[in-house]
Amino acid sequence: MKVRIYQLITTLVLALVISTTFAQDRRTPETRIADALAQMPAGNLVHLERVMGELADLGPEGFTKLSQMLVAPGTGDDTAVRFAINSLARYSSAFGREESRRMVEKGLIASLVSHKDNEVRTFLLNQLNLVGSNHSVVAVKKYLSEEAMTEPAAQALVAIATRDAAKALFQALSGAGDASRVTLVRSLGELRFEESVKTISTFSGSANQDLRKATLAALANIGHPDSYKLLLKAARDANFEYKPSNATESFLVYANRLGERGEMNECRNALKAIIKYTQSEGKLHNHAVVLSLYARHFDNEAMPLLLKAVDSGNKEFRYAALNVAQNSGGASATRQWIAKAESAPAAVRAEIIDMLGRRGDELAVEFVRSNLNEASQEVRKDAIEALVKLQGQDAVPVLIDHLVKGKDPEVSKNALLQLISRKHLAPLASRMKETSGATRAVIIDAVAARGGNAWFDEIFAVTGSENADERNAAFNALKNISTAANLDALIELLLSAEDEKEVQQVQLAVVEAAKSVEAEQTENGKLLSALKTTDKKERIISILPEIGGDVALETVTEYFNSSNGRLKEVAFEALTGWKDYNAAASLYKITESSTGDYRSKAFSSFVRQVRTADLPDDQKLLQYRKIMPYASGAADQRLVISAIGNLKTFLSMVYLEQYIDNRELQQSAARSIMRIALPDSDGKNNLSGQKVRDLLQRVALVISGEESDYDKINIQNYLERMPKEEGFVSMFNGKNLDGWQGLVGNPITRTKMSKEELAKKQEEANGKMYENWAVKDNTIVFNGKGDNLCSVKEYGDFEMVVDWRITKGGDSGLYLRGSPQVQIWDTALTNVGAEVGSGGLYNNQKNPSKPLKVADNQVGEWNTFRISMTGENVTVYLNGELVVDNVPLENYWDRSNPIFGKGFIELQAHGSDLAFRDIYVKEINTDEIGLTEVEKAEGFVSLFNGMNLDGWQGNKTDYFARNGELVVQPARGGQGNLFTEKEYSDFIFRFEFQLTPGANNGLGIRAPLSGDAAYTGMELQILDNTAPVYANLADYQYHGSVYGIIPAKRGFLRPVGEWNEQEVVADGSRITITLNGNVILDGDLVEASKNGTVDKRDHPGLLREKGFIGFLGHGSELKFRNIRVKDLIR
Amino acid sequence: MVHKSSTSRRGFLKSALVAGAGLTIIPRHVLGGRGFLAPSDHLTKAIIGVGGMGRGHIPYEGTRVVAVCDVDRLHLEKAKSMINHDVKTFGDFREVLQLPEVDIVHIATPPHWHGIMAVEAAKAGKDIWCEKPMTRTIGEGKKVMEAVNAHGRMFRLNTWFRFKDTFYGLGTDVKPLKKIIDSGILGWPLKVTVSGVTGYDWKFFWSGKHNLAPMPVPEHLDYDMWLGPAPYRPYNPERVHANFRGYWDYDGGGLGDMGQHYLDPVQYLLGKDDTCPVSIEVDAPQQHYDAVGSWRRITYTYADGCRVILDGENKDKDAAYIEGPHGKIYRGFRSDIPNLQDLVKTLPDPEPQITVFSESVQTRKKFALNETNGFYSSTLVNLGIVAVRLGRSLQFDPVKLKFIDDEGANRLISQPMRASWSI
Repeated sequence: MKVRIYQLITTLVLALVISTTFAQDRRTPETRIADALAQMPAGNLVHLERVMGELADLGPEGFTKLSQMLVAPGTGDDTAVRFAINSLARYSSAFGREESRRMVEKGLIASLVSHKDNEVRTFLLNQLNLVGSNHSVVAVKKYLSEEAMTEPAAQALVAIATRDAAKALFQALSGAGDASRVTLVRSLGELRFEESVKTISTFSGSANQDLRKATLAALANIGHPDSYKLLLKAARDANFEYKPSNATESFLVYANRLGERGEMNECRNALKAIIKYTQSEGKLHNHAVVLSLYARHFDNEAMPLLLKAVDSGNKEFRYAALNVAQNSGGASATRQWIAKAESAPAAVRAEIIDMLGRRGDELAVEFVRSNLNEASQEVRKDAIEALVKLQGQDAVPVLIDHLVKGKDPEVSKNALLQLISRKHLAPLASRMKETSGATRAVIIDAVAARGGNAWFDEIFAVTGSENADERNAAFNALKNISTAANLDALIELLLSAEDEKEVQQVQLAVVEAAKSVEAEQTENGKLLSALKTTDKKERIISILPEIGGDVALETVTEYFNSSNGRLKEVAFEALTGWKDYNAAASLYKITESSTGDYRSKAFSSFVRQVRTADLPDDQKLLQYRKIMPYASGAADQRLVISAIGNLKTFLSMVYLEQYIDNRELQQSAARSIMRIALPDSDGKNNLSGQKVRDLLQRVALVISGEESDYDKINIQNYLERMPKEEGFVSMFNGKNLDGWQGLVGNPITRTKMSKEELAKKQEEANGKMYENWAVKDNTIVFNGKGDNLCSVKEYGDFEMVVDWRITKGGDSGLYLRGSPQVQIWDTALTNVGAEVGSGGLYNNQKNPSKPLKVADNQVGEWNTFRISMTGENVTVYLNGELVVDNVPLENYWDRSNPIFGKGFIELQAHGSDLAFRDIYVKEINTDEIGLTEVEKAEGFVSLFNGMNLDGWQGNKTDYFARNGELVVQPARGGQGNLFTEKEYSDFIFRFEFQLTPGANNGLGIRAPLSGDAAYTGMELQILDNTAPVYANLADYQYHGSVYGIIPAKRGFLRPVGEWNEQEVVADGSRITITLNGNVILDGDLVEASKNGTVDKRDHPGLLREKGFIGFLGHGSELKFRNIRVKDLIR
Repeated sequence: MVHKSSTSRRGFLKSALVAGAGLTIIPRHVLGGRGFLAPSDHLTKAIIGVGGMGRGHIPYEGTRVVAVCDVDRLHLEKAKSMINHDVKTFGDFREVLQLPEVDIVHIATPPHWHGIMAVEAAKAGKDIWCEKPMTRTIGEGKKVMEAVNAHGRMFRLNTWFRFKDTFYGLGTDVKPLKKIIDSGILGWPLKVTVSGVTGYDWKFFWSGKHNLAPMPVPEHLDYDMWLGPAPYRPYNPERVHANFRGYWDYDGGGLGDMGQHYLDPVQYLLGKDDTCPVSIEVDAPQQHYDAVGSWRRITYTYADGCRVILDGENKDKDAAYIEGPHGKIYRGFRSDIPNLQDLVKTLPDPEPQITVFSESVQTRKKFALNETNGFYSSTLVNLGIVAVRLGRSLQFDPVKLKFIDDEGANRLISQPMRASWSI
């Protein structure tokens, strides 16, 4: 609230605001470091920048204090400190942060002295890799002489890369041991420190192999002419072969460095030396280096070498040369290559043409084109491919002409397919007539590849050709060029074709032509009509799965049932290959009623169809469980188990538990359970709870195979961050009725009984229970007589899952909190209105009592309920379909009152046999809504139960609970604010809020129940800062500000309509507000008001020690949720 | 450092060499000269790094393993047991590179080794098959590209979506996408979004642990050699083998693991095989100096305005995979352009590529994903990693391959190697 636009006052006090609100930070350095460390790691870069800015402000003394907190690995946890120091170095390494970079650099050096542990000192030196400058050289230098520190110190100096740094490395060489020398020599090489050449050279004879290698590499890097002899000798000693000393490579590097330094004579000599020593077969890859170096440093001088190289008998070497040639020289080089190609043998000529294509110089077009007529097929092939690269679509006419000549049909086709689009088809297709055989086939292929259905008739005619190539191409083309208009011709061809492959091609074409024709799914379709009369029924039946439709399905099922031999098999294959889920019922029947091959194939097809069907996961699980008993062996079972792994439901996971100890099925089951329980790639859709934890732990023990180490890590990581909640708990152990009891009266009559009377009746009812209810095959069954089966425990808010099955005429239900009921009945009982389906809240009178849709499975099959009850509202999913959407369950026993707060879950009996299995319940504790596990442990409590305003006082009209949110709608006509029932003094208050455009509310703290809370207590503004009407407010009026006292930072509200998270810490006179992870206000009330408040108004409530927390509404709609508090006084 | 175990490793190696002495594989190039291989001939290969990934390289068609190398004796034993002929075993890859009978070297070690090994293999005249990511720094990638080129070697980087297989959530290979983009139907510039929404999982479980306590090195592991060029840090099993991706010194988390898989085809589609973005914007939590953490968003922008967005939190709920001014393509190859699939048929095919490495080795024509385009796609990954680690957005010069006005970032282009290793 409190947007009062006193423009004048705003302007007048602006100066004052600036001088008083940015009050000096009075925290000690220790406190400031501790505060910063508490924020490590920062959640986002804005937050990080802010904390790093604070740390940088601490100066070198602060940095030293921080670094004193580093400890050797294994001796304590300094994670936050390392986060801070490393990030500070990174932060300071950015452009324009010279000042803080100097500070960090100084700090690092000072800290190095005070630490003894090598790992810690290495960590500090590593930071200098980022921020070190010439200032650090003197300090870092002394670590070079400690063998364990040489490496990190040298790395820092290499990063610093100044002349002083190089000198320091050089000076350290004398007196260093071999291990340190290797590092120092390498570093001097990297810095190319010339003065060190002489000294380094003396190590070339060292007995230490690493030092010799480093020496040669360093001398090569430096590239001084004086090193020539030494490096050449080393390479010759290595016979110019690969040796771990890298002597050969060092000389090659050296040659390049000479060129880079402008020592052209030496460079040329070196390259010539390499050529001399690398002529033999095994060393040509080193010879090849010369070619690229020549091209780099001497440009055109490389040409003779390159031209000579392609005379080599070694293809690798020729290609190495041609790869260099591809990118060097200008037009004259192109001409020289053309001349070379003209005189070269065919294989080399082809290779040069290939290079000219990649080179892309159009000068070569004519030459390349002239090679299309060469005798060598290899040359022609490379010429065609080069022409594509050189000319693009301009090459199309030439390539068509070449194709028509009939020499290179395949290569020409591949080239044309890269170039032609539909607009090129006419000139190509027009040549069909003048060609024959393979060439004609290529034209047909190309026209088909671009979907040229304008040439259907011409190509269709070729299906009658005597020439095998033409004929094949024509049949093969049909599927790409057929449309509905061609259906008659295609069906005729289908029934007249003789070759089996040709029949298949026509079938594909028929599918293309018929699939978008709706009439083909009816009795009158051309295909179904043809089916009736033809004696080649198999040819049409095997197409029908792709066409689909009920008529086709019935027809095919009928052929399967009533025929024999080949026709039956084809019908069966059609059913197993049906394009959608519709054939599943037929496949189930076949699985159930047949044996052998039919059974196992129908089984796997059924599984595949369920897997790809658009069904809810609950329904898929029921289908898989239905088929599982008919598995022909472990392979079938594994198929089902792995399919269930895609269903992210609790019952799917629980169902798989039985297979985890089965040796043959264990791995499939373990992987599936893991897939179900762990989050998807987007980090969502995971399961949690004790049962999940137990199962995942078992999975981690048994899972094996190639990638299982990764799986185990995933599982472990997930278990570590999984909420510790109980989750779903079984209500039925599958063996007996433990956890259940007989029913006594109803919730109202029971309260009227004395304790003794109730106990006695309960005992009687428990005895009677066993007469009517029993456990059979892991299910609870009812024999048609007697009372409800009642849970021993009472439940308030909960979610439950349960499977149920009824027989014909069945009528039952589930009582929630002792009250009827979520309906279960046979939808055939239309005399009582059962056609609406199961799942409805049958006894409701004011609220909906019917389900939203019929989602029942056939009588005799299992169904799955997922029910949740929060407050008085019930939501029901039946077989994965939403049938009751958050509807209040009315109190059947006392219609004048809402439903009881808690009560038994009962399985209702209504004179018909029925069964239940897999009953699981998860209790929801509304006292803990919105609390994380950490918060619970820290003593936070939830202030809003998501259902009603219990625990609050004041305006309960404009403020109300809906869908777990606290909604503010001022239009409802209430008055005043909403306050907690309890008072709070020092506290942490966390909540989420969602603004509407221009929304204005406020959070009152330490407020009394009456008066203007902004003054009689304090108000922390809640406001849509972005609304135009608020464009000209004073700083202290925007979101998060202690209204009129301390302004908050702006820019951290999420866009209007998104949820924001806020934390308010009120600790004595210090108020800290964090919005979406960013501290937007951190100030002291006493400090901020010691010279008077910035709004120049009287704030008597400012220094109140305690009061209520409340929402101070002023006419705006908005929402709150997950409201929780930790009382710091208690 | 662990010198103690290296003596026993030497002993082990000796016996392994003796065991392999009876081997009579004659390399193809001795018989027929290199580059003159009949297509039916088997090329010979050595695999360096035979953990889970490297062992997967044993059965590739058209090649025969003649040597395997690992710094963990248990890995070597397991690999040997999977090969049903005699094979030489090594603990030091440099000994493998000296074998004349080896045509191709497969590098399946953690990424901090890729750069050195690829360069050394090129120096030794071997053709190279390297696991992704190509290298873990831009500087090393450049060296690999240069060495492979200079020595005339064939190089294959092992990700393949630019030329085969269904491309993650797209439900197609890249060919039709390439045809569409090249045809200009979508307009220009393009924006590509890589996120769970478009079908990609960023695998943030590759996050490292903090505050690792030093532990004794197991007898079967040569830890000093495992670290190689990486900075020395006390041993802890969390660092090595299946866990290394969670530490900056060896890889870059999910981005290192999957980045090149996801981004290489994007680079191909956008025609950026020889260039880099000019700016990299990043939104991420603060990163640890050693352990990799997650990130929320990385946005690459090229000079022509094309953008690639890595959305780590799947924030853009309606994001198209590719979006241009005139059309979009979504996950599952859906599009707002009517009949796009039919339209694809009418468009020219992209340039064919060599997609079987043994063919490259024999014809000496470059593999579809080679040292050059592979370098640029690994650079795309590494640019993101540098920005995430530094916690700031960066400007980049694609010609000089340097960051603009950012010395800190430039110091991460080539990171120091522990002596005696250098590249």
